[in-house]
Formats: sequence, C-alpha cells, structure tokens
Amino acid sequence: MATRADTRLPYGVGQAGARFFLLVAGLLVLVGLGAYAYTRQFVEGEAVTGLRDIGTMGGAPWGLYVAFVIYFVGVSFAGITVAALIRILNLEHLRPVSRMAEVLTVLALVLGAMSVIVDLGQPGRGIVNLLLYARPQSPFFGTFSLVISGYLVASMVYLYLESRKDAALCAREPGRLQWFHRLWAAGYKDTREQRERHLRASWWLSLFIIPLLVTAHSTLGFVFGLQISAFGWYGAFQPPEFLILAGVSGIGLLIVIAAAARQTLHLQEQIPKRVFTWLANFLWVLLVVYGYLMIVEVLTAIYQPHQNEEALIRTLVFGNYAWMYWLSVGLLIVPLVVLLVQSVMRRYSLPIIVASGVFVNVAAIIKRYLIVVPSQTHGRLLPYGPGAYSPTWVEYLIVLGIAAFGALAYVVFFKVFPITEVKESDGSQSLWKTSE
Amino acid sequence: MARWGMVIDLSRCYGCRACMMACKVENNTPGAHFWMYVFRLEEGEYPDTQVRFLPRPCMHCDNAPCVKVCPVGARYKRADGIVSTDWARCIGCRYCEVACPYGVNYFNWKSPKKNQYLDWDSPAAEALEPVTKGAVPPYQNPALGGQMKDGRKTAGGGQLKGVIEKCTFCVHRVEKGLQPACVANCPAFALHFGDLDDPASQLSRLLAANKSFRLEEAFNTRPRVYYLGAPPPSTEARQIQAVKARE
Amino acid sequence: MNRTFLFLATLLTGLVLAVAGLFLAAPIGPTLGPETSSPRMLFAPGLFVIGITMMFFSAVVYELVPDRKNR
Repeated sequence: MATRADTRLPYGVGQAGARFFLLVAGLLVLVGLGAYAYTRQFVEGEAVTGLRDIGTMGGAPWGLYVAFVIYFVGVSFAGITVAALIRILNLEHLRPVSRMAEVLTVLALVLGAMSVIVDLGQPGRGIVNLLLYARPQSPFFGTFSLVISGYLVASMVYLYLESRKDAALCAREPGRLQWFHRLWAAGYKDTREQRERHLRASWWLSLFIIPLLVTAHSTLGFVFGLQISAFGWYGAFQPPEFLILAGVSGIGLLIVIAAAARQTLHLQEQIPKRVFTWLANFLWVLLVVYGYLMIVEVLTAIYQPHQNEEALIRTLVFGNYAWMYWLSVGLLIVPLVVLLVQSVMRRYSLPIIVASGVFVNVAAIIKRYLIVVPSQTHGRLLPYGPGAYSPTWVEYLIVLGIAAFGALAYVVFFKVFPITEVKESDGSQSLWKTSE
Repeated sequence: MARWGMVIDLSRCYGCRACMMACKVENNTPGAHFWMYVFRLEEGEYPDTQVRFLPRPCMHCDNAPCVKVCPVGARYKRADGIVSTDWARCIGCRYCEVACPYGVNYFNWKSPKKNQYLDWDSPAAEALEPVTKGAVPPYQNPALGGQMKDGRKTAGGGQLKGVIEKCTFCVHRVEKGLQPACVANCPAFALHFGDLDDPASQLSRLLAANKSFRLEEAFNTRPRVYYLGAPPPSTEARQIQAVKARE
Repeated sequence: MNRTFLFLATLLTGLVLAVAGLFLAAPIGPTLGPETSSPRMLFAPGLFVIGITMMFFSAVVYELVPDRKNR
C-alpha cells in the first residue's frame, strides 16, 4: 500500500499500517473459527447446538441465532433513519455520519441474512425454496422479501448514489484503488444538473425507504406477536417494541462507530462533537419511548395475568432469567438517566455518550434473547413442565464469526473509501482543480 | 372427500403408552421423537391425588397456526384434513414448531439414520438380521419415503436431517384404508379414527352420544382430536413420569 | 428523453413485476387448504423481489444514464 507521503486520498483511504493488518488478521481468525464451527453444524446437524424441541424435549428450537437475526436487522435502523433525517428534515449537521450509518445498515442486513441462513436446517434449499414458494401469509415473507431484499437493495442504492461525488474526487488520484473509485463514480462530474438530479433522487429514495424500514422491524415483531402458542409473545406491542429497540441499538452502535472513526482517523474536525450530542439526545428520546412501551407491557402483564403468563413472568423477574432481565433493564436505564442529565445540564462528555452506545447494544442483545427463549422453555400451554436452553460453543463461535465478518467488511471499507464526506479543505482541493 | 378425525376415550386409556411405541415403529421416528405422546398427569394434593392419562397426537387443526406460518408451504392442510409436512420442501426454519400451541413438532437435529435406537447401518444391526429375518429393528418401513396421493412427500419420519416432522395420522396407511398405527395397536380400544362427516362412522356415533372436549379450544385452532369419557385436565395438572429424552 | 424513458421503464416494469409477483404468490380466500401451500406460479416471490429491486434500481438509472442533450 502507498505510504502517507505519496497519497492524497483523504481520511486514511489506501493507507494501511501494521495496526490495520493486525486487526484484519484478528478478525479473520474469528471469521475462520466461525466458518469451522459452521462446517461442524452443517455436517452433523444442529444437534451440535443447544437447541432442542419444545414439549417433550423441554428445549428451545429458536435460540441464539434467531436472537441475533433480530439484533442485526434492528441495528440496521440507523442508516436510513439518519439519511432520511438529513434529506427530509434537512438536518444537515448529521451529514458527517451519514455514510457510516448507511454502511452500517447495509452490513447489518447482510449479517441478519447470514444469521437466518445458519439457523436453517436446510440452508441451500432455504434460499431456493423461498424464491420459488414463499407465502405472503407467513410473517417470514416480510422478513425475506422486504427486509433482506427490498430494504437491503434500497440501502445499497442509496449508499452508492450518495457517495458518487466523493468517489469521483478520489478517482482523480492515481493508485491501486483508482479503478474502484472510477467504477463507483461512473462519470460523476459534479455539474449543477447532476447535483440537482441527485438531490431529487435521494429525496424520493429516502421517502420510500421509510415504509420499508417500518415494515422491516414490524414484520419481525409480527413473527412473534401473532403466535398464540406461547405466553409472552402474543400481543400488539411486539412490532412497535421491535421498531423502537431497533432504533435504540442502531443509534447506539452508530455512536460507537463514529467515535472509533473519529479517534483512529483523527477526524475531530470533520465529525464535530455536536454530531454526537445530537445523536445522544435522539438516543435518550428513543429510550424514553421504549421505556414507555416496556412499562405498558409489564403493567398489563402483571395486573391480572393468565396463570401461565404469571409463571413466565416469575421466571423472568425472579427465576432463571432474572440476572439477564435485570442486567438489560439496568443497561437501558443508566444510559437514559445519564444522557437525560447531560442534556438538561448541557454538558456533554463524549466518553459517556460512547459508553451509553455500548450499554444499550448489550441490553438490546440480551433483550432479543429474552424475547426469543423464555417463552419457549417456560411459556407453553400444555403441562410439559419447564425446559432449558443454553447455547453451545458452536453457536457462540458462529455468531461471533458473523459479527467479525461484519466488522471486517466495515474496517476494509474504511480503507477503500472515505468514511465521511470529503471536505474541500482537506488538502484535496487540488483534486477538483486539476481536472478540466 | 373424507374429513378425518380422532376420538380418544379417556375412560379407557390407562397410560400404557403402547400407542407411542406403535407410532415409533410404524413411522421410524428417530430417538426422542414422540409423535404420539401420552401424558401421565397428577392432580390434587396427597393423599387426595388423582392420576390420569392424556394421549396427545397432532391435533390436525382446522385453523392450524403451523400451516399459516410456514414460509414455503411445506406444512399444509390436505383436502381430507390431515395436516402434512412435505419433507422435500421443508427448509428447517422451525417456525411451525414454535407456532404450535400443543408442542407436537419434532426437528431432525441430526441425521435420523444416526439417531435410531439401533443404527440401521451398524454392525449390530447387520448381525441381527439373519436371526430375526428382519422382523425386529432394524425395521425400515418401506411404505414411507414415497409420494402420497397428492404428489407430496409427507409420510413417515427419519427421512432427512434438518427438516421438521410430526404425527401424520399415518397418512400412508390411511390412504390404503388402514387405521393409524396408534389406533390399530391400542390394547384398550381407547383410540378411534374415522370420518367426521360420516354419521355412521364410529367416530360420529361416539361424539353424538358423549360430551367431548378438545384441547385449548378457546384459542380457536379447531382441532380434529376429540376427547371424551372424562373432563378436561385441570390447570393444576402436572406431569409425572415424563419422557424427558432430549437427544 | 432517453434517460426519462429508461428511468420510467425500469420503475414501471419493477412495479408491475412486484404487484404481479405478490398477486401470484398470495391466493385470496381461506388461508388453509392445499391450494394455499403453493403460489399460483412458481418463482412468484422471486418476481416480487426482482420487482422491488428494479424499482429502487430505477434511481440509479435516473442518475447514471447520460442525457443525450448533454454535450
């Protein structure tokens, strides 16, 4: 790779030092381990996981994989929301993080799709048969067709078009990445007409992606919310809760990624602190809405519960799952309070904001797990008795491998494309002027 | 077209679980799969306890949640009412399993050929064959594995790793005019199978003459399995002598 | 003109495919019964996905295809 002195590509693009390769190597190891675990699962069947049948086996057929499907799709909330806020509400000061939010959305949806595939008993058939036979009557249809196809394609198109200008800028610079930037730019010359066309296209795109966003998260909520088979699932609160927690985890993760980018690439000027304060305020607003939905759900469930529902709640609050339940509650309340106090006192600390982002994501993962598993082991209708589920090393490695794959793709993207909009003052002003 | 259903006489069932064994042999279900299951339930507090038995096949619901949620239509309801699983189309997502209120679905977590009580390919099985002339396990039912009359592959278990299976009302037997294996083998004649639309069938006569209930009726699944001869299990009923196999 | 035509063609073809795909995949009527286990036409869900993809791809057509009048 070219050294820092030779290249004029901004924000670390094309420059890869020892630290980068070390990170890539570490992530590749995790991906490799995940791939190995998956081959074991593929050959021997999902018996190598901790998943087992409901009922006589007292197990849970949906576990860590499904929890992460919901988590990854949830995190994808960030990208298009930020893009829509910028375009439709003209919140220009969020612009510095819009590209990393869009990349997060694209990658998160890919990871969500991968998590579905590793969960299927017949994955190859899954892809083929879904295209041939998928039924709209099933809540999965929305997940498959609108989320993984529509939402993903729409976000990729949005990312592509939005970044053509910077691609054209980078394409002026000769080097190993020039072919890639040229391909991306596809003849963008930053004429007034092109800019106008782009504004129009991206406005309409953001508008149409919003219904996809709502459908994506609501459909996942419906997968659970329409089932009478288990207590703790059925209810109209699932789609809205899925949507809002998606927002919480997505914005939280975006904060973490933006802070990491800012720190490692020295982008303090390009990504000013007010971006983080805005995101932090948005985060506590979402946390308040989520808290409201949770309080409504819990009060309804404990006022006059069905016998089995009461047993399930006892398990959640006092029993086997209590430590996870209270941990997730704490990891949501603490950031809410802290961010609210920050906002009231108008004194914002970046480390606190980033820590809040981390906390809410851990809480979201735990919450997704608590939505999926306890209703299967403890919420059944017939008197089978309580069950148990704990993931095995295969499941942990596969999930870790998928997450590492996402992180890997993300850091590689950092190195092949500017992660934030290129400002004219960044030593690249010559790039435009050297053209005709 | 027949409208198949089942009537279970709880006043006759004494919990011997022969139906579970018959189902297992007939359908080659792998280890820990119990398409037919018999609850042994205890109600009340000692010394006033009561033990009762509740056979639980698949309910073949008229408003089956499992059929509604299947993403690829592998789980479907035949015209004669049998809810079948096309193992040639199933993608193994297990949505039907979590959607079923009765917990009747079983997933092939490992290759079913490696999950029999005596592996069909093992040397021990080979050694047994000349002795028993194939009459005892390994007994691979040759009637399974093919297409049923509606062109779908829905009979029997133990076909493929990574797909779901459940009670089929022995569709491969019913299509030949036979009774399901559990019904044919119950020593107490507690299980009855027949056409609900035929007023002359034993099923219809039993239902007309007795009060019956169905499990979890209030959830509107409209099951095709009727219970008579005893009141429904109380909410305090707890399972004893559960078959906790987890393979 | 060329660009507008291509853009509208992509968008409308996508819309038609998506609607047709959805219609062919989802039989109207009682939700149970053997007819509802298969789509009216094989690959109808695939058509739906392709239609939605094309509709969003039309934005790329709109921006990328050069206008004949330009230069």
